[in-house]
Amino acid sequence: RSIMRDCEDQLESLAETSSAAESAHYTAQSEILYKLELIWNLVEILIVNTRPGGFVMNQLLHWISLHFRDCEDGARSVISQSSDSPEDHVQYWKTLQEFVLQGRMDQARNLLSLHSDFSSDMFASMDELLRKMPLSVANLSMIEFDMQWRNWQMEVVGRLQVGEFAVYPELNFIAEILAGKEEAINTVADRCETWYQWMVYKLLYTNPGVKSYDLGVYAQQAIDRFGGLQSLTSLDSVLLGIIELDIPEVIRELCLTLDNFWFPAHLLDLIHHSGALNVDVQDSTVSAGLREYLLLDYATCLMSHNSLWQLGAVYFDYCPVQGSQRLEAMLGRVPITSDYKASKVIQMANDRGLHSVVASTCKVMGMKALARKDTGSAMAWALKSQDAKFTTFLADKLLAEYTHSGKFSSTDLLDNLGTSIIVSDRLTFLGKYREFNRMREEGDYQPAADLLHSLLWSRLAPKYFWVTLLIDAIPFLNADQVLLDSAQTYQLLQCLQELVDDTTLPEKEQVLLEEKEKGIRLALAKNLALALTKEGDAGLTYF
Amino acid sequence: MSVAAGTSRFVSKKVRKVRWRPRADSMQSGSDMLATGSWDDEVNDVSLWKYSEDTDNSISLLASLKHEGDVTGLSWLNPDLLATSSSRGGVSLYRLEQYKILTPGQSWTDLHAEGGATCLSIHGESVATAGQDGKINVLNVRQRAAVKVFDKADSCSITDLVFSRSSDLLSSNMRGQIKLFDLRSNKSEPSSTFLLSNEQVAITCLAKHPSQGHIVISGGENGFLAVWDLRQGSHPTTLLSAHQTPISEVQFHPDQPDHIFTCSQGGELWHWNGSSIKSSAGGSNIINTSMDLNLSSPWLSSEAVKHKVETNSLVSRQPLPINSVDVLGHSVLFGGDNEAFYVLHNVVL
Repeated sequence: RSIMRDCEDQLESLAETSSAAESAHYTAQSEILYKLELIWNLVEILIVNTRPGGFVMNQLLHWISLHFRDCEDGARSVISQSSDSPEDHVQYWKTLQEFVLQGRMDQARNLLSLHSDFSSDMFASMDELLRKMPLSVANLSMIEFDMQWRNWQMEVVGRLQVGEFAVYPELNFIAEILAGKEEAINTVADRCETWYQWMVYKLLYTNPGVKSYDLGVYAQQAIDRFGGLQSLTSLDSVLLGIIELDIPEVIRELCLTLDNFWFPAHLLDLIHHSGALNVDVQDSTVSAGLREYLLLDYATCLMSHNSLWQLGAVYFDYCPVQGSQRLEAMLGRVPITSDYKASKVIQMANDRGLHSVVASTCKVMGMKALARKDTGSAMAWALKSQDAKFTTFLADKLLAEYTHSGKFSSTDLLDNLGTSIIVSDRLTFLGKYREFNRMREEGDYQPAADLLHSLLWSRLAPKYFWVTLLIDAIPFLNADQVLLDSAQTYQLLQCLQELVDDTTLPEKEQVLLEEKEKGIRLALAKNLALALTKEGDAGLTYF
Repeated sequence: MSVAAGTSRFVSKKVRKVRWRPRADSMQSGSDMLATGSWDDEVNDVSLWKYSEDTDNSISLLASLKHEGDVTGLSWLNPDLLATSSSRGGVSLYRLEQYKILTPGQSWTDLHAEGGATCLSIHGESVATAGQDGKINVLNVRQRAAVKVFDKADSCSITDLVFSRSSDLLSSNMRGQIKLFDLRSNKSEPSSTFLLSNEQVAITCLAKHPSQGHIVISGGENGFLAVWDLRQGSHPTTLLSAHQTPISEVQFHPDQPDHIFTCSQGGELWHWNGSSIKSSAGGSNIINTSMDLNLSSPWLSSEAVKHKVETNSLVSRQPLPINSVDVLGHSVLFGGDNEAFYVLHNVVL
C-alpha cells in the first residue's frame, strides 16, 4: 500500500513537470492508483478486518477522511489568511461543515474557535455540543453507545428548536446536520462528490451504530439519490460490490477495467488468506480456482518481462494446481544472455525439481559455446546436465580436432574429468586416450601399451579412430623390448583384419589404412615373433 | 549473537554488486558511501549512495549513471576511482568528484567476446578481467592498451578472479579448477592448477585473506566453501559444507580476517566467526609444533571441519537470491534480486 502511495506521489510530481501529453498520461495513472487505494482500504475494512459485532463507523470515517481531503486544504488556507474575521473567508463554512460531516470534531472546534464571535453564547453552546458527541465504541457496549448517542441528539434537537442558533443561519445548518434532519442532510448531498461519501455522512448522524451487513441497504439509498444504478462507474460498482460483500462481482469488475491482474490477484489472495472466502464449502473450490487463475495470469505476465521473471517464478510457487507445469514451460523460455543468468535459471529449476528445464538450459548454453568454437565450455555444460548424447557429440569433435592438429585443445578438461568420465562411452574413450598420450609422453611405455591394447580390444574406441590407434601402436610394436604379448598381438591382428574388411569406413581413413597397412602388419608380425619366442623361453625355463 | 538492525533501500533494478567505498582515512570505522551495480534490466546503472550512519541511518542517492550491459564486477581502486566490468565485454572507470558526482573516465571495450566479462579484480593500479571466453586481460589505469592478455587462459568460462599478490592472479572456472597465473613470466599457461574435487562443481567466487595472501577461500555451486593454502597441495585444505544453494559471494572482513561473510542464491546471509575455532583448539596447540603453519589462521585448521565454526544467519531467508555482500567496520551491505539493497549496522563481531 505504501508503495502505491509513493508511486502516486511520484506520478503527480512528474505530471506537473513534464509536457502536456505525458502529464495527461501520468495524471491518469495516478488517478488509477488513487482509486485502487480507495478500493483496497474499503476491502480491508469490510472484509479482511471485520470486528466482532460488525461496527464499522469509525473505520469508515477514517476511510473517508483519508480520501477526501479538501477540507484540510480549506482549513489550511483559512488559517493562513489570518485576518480578524476568518468567517468571511469563502471556504470557512464549507470547511467547517465538512469537518463536522466527517466527524472530526476537534478540527471543527478549532476552526469554530477562530470565529470572531466565538465568545457569544450560541457559539459556546455549539462548541459544547460538538464536544459531547459520543464517537467511539471502544469500551462501550452497543446498547450503551446507542443510548448516549440518542440522548445527545435529543439535546441538539432541543437546542435547535429553542432557536439558539437562529442568528447565524450557517450555524443553524450545522446544528441541523447534527440533529440528523433529513433536509439538511439531503442538501449536503449536493456538495458531495460521490454517493459513498454522502452515505457515510448520513449514517454518522442518523445511525452511527450501523453494522457492516446493513450497509447494503443504505448504499442502495445513496446510489438512488445520486443517479441510480445506471450511472454507476466501474469504481462505484466495485465499491458497491464490496459493501454487499459480493466478492466475485468485485473481482470481475476489477478484471474488466484493469489491464493486468496485479491488483485483483493480490486482493483476492488477501481475501483468501483472511478466510472470508470460505463461507461455502462449494464456493471455496471455486474461489480457490479463481485465485489461482488470477495469480497464474499475473505470473505469466511477469515472466515475459526481462527482469521480473524471477519474481514470476516465486508467484508460480503459490499456485498449487497448475503452478509447476506452467513454470516449467515458461522458465525454459527465459532469454539467457550470460552464464550467470543461466546458472540462476538452473538453480531455480533444480530447487523445484524441474529437470527438463535444467537439461534444456544446459544444452542451449552448450550449443552457444560451440557456436563460438569454445568446445571446453560446451563440454562443461554438457557434463553439468549429464547429457550423454551431447557429450558424445562433443567428444567426437575433440577427437576430430586431435586428428587434425595432433594435439588436444582442452587438456585440463580431459585430465580432470573425474567422475563425469562415465557420462558417455565416447568421453571415457577420450579420457583414456588422453591418459595414453600422457603416459607416452612421460615414458611409461608398458602401461601405455596395455592401455592402447585394451582401448582397441574392448571396442571402446570408435571405428573411425582405430586406424589412428593402430598407427600409434607401431612404435610400441617396433620397440626393443616386448611390450605386448602374443595374445594381445593376435587380438590386434584381428582388429586390423576387421578394419580392412570394413567397407563403411570414411574415405580419409580408408586412404590412411591402405598406406599404413603394410607397416602395421609388418610390425605386428615382428612383435608376434618376439613375443612367442620370449614366451617359449619362459615356458622352457619353467620346465 | 549479532542482533543487527538494518536499513533498506528499494532500487527497482536487480542488484548484482554492492561495494563500500574504501575509507579515506583509517581512523574511521565505517564508510559513508557505497556503490551498487545492477543487472538484467533493459538499461542498467551504476549508482552511488550516501549512507549516514550517525544521524538516522538513511540512504540517499547521490549519482546514477547508465551502464552498458550488466554490471558483472565492481571495485574501488581508491576512494575516488571506481571500476566496473560489463557483460558487453568492457571495463569502465568512474571518477568520484566533490564527494557526490560520478563522472565516467576511461573505458576499454571489446575486451571479451560474447558473454562479456564475468569478473573483475583490482590490485593497486592494475585491473584484471576475465570472461566467458576463457580470456584474461590485465590492464593498467594509466595505459590505454592492455598490459597483458592471456588469450586461452582457460578452456571454459572463468567465473572469478582475484589477485593473490601484485604479480599473481588466480582464476576460477566453472569446472572447479583454480589456476594461478604469474604475471611476471612470459608464459601464457598457468603456473599451477588447483582442483576442487573429482566432480565438475563450478567455483562461483573467490576471496583472498586480507593479510595472508596464500590463504584463499572459494565458494562453490554446491554451497560448499573450500579453504585453500596456495603454498601446499593442489586440493583444498578444508571443505566446509555451508549453504544448500550456490554461494554468490564470500568476503573476508578487512580488519578481522577471522570473520567471513557469505551470501547464497537461496537468499541466505551468514556470518562465520572463525575465532571460535582458535579457542576450541587451544589445548592442542602445544603438541602441534610442526603444524604451526596452521595456527596462523583458523581457517586452515582441521578443527573447522568438525562443525566448530560459529555461524550466524544475519537475516531471515529471502525468497530471491542475494547476489553480493560487502563488509566494512561494523556494517554489512548486501543486495540481491529482490531489487533492493540493505545495510546492517552494528553487526557484532
